[in-house]
Amino acid sequence: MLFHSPEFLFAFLPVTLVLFYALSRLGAGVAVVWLLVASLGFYAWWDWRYLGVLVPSILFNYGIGEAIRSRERSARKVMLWLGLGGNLVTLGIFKYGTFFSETINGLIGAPVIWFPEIGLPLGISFFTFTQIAYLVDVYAGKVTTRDPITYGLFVTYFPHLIAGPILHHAEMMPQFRDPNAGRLNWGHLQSGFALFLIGLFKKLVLADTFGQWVGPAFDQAQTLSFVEAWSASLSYTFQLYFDFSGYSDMAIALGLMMNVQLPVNFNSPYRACNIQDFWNRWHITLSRFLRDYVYIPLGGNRRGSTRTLINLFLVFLIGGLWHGAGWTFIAWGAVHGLAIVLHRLWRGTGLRFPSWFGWLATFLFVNAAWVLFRAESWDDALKVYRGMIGFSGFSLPAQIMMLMPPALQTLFTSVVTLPWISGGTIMGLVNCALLLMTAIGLVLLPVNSQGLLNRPLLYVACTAAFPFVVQAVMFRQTASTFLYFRF
Amino acid sequence: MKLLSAIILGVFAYIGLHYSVLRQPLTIGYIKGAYDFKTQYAKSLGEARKIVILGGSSSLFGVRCQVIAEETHLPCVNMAVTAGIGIDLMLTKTEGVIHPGDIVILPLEYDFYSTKAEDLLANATANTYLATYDHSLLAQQEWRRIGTALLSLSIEDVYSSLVEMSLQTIGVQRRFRISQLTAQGDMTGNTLELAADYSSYIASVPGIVPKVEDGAGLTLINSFIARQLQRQVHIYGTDPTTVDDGTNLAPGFLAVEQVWLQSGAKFLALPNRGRYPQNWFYDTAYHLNETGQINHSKALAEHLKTAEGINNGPP
Repeated sequence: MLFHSPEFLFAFLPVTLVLFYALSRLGAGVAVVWLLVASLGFYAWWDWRYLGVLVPSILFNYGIGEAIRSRERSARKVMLWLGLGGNLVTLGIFKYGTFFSETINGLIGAPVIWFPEIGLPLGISFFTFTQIAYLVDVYAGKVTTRDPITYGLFVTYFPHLIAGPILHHAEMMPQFRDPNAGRLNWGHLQSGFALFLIGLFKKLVLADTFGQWVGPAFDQAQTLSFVEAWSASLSYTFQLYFDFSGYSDMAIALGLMMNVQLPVNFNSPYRACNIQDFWNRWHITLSRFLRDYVYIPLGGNRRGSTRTLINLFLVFLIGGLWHGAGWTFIAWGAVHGLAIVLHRLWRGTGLRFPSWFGWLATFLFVNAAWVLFRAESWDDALKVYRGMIGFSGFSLPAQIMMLMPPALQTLFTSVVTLPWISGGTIMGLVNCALLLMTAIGLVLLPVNSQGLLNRPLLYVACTAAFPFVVQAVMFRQTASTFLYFRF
Repeated sequence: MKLLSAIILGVFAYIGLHYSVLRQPLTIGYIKGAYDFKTQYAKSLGEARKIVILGGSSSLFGVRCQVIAEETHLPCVNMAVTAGIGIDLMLTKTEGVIHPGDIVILPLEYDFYSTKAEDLLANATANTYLATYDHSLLAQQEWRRIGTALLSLSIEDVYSSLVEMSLQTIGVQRRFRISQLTAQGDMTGNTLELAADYSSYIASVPGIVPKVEDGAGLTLINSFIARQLQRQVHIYGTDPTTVDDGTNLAPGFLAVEQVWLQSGAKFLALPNRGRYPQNWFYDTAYHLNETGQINHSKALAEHLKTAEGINNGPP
């Protein structure tokens, strides 16, 4: 059930909200049970068989958590490793099994390992990481809440279950148990619906519009000329941002409707002036997880500067692998890791670039790296890079060239149409350019959707957003899923 | 309350902008202008018997009414504009100029024989046309279509409107213009020289396969035929012009032909079924160049000379 599907908007959400507030009168515990049932139902709607992974995973981790709590120090460590191992094996089987078997078979040159084709349960990376953090914190003695129903809801809470934000038990479990959580707060409800609308606008109007230009260029074209390659890469850069931040806005908004505060996941990442700043603003809850549960356990910055740089690189490599079982994802993580290392070294020199240069360099780097993230194969990525560098020619439709100054015209070859962007139409190409400019303007605005909360500007944004959201829902040929569902 | 007010204000502002402010003069406005131009010519013929060509842009580029009129000695009006407007509006826009005794020829694009109801409702060109340029036709639609048309303004349409309105202000004209139409409504200017620019593109376009499927398109075609036969109009189906890539399309041709014959209408089947080599085409695999257009029209006229209704009045 997608957040923008009619069954969610007109059935699941109203029923869940009404019953949540009605049952809250009977006590917070009853409301928690209802939300757990609703969340499991929400998950089962995709494919009920995946409950066979999710529910045992919850029971296993809760059980391990309880075992860690009740045992002596040495046994606790064994239980922790057992828990971590169980989670990583589950993730390995469902997400990385095929990738590793194909890689090994490819290296050997013969099919020595066979791995069955099994579907990837939705949100497995999210609910596995969430529970790993829980176990580590139980081991560290940081977890006080022990109620299994609240734990189950913390893992399955439907606003975040499929694509995050990655929640931390300490910020969620007390909220579910708060007796005031079930009190109807019209202010929260209104703000929640307004933020949800902004999220829908980001997803349906912006991300999906960019998305229609990305697929043909990345997946079908044999070669891409300069303008096509840049249009495709920039379109994906904005598609991914508006898709994922739109989803995060909707998740936060749904939480708000139930008086639950979910963590912010985006803070205008494309305004970052260096790569570290970018990672402080993009998918914040993943960065937080990797810092707390990978970087710091690896030693963080406590073991000298060289080890710090290695740790940073490793964290990004793992981050790449977390996103997907493929070498292009690993390469994407590696280039970001390398960029972070270079940034650290540069910062150590004490030299500084002007902020506009820092912004431009960061944005162009992030944009170029997303090509690896999006490409289905190395060949597809190289095709886009070749186009962006200009190795596949500089072409423009004759009708557009006619409007350009003569000096600029000499740079391009006149063609009838650029077939791989915007459906090959002239007006489509113009629209693509204008929407890219609008997107750059939007991501550079000093106020983002989180900043709009509790400000009159939020309702001005809703005035503009609502009719376009209705238009997008009405004219949608097929419902598009969120990009981060595959992770 | 604030949210509700914002939403209501947004909907009114949106519909107001769509209905009376934003325009796409070069693309959608052209459709309105072309229909007005052709309708005016058709009406100027009064009650005189005439040949009417009804189709999408393949007929606009593929048929020369001038040639047909010379060959058949009957006035001819080419009412074809663009397939993008959809089979429903295309039939409605032309029906008003057809009189009993007229000969109506429909070289419909093959897509129309499998159009679904949801395709018609989601047709962006048609919805924008209705909401911005043809309010009287909009008022004749059922409520669901009116709502769809009024809420059809996408973010891309906003940009297209702003760009087209700006381009019109500075005098930029579209590649195809109403001034290129003959008095009878045929497109000119699709010369062999200009066609050369598109040859590699046309070579890359896959062939078009005729397909007939139950749905709104077929229902509309059948009911249109029935109405015209009742009004004693001579109505003929024929093939649109397409690239001959050597594929055997006989089953598809037969299915299309059956639509007409089973409805009691006639079908003008040219020996080549409207298929021509790539170098007969202009800018797409549906649009003939001028030379191809004239030759195809001569072939069509030759067939028409022996067709029922050409030499007599209402059947």
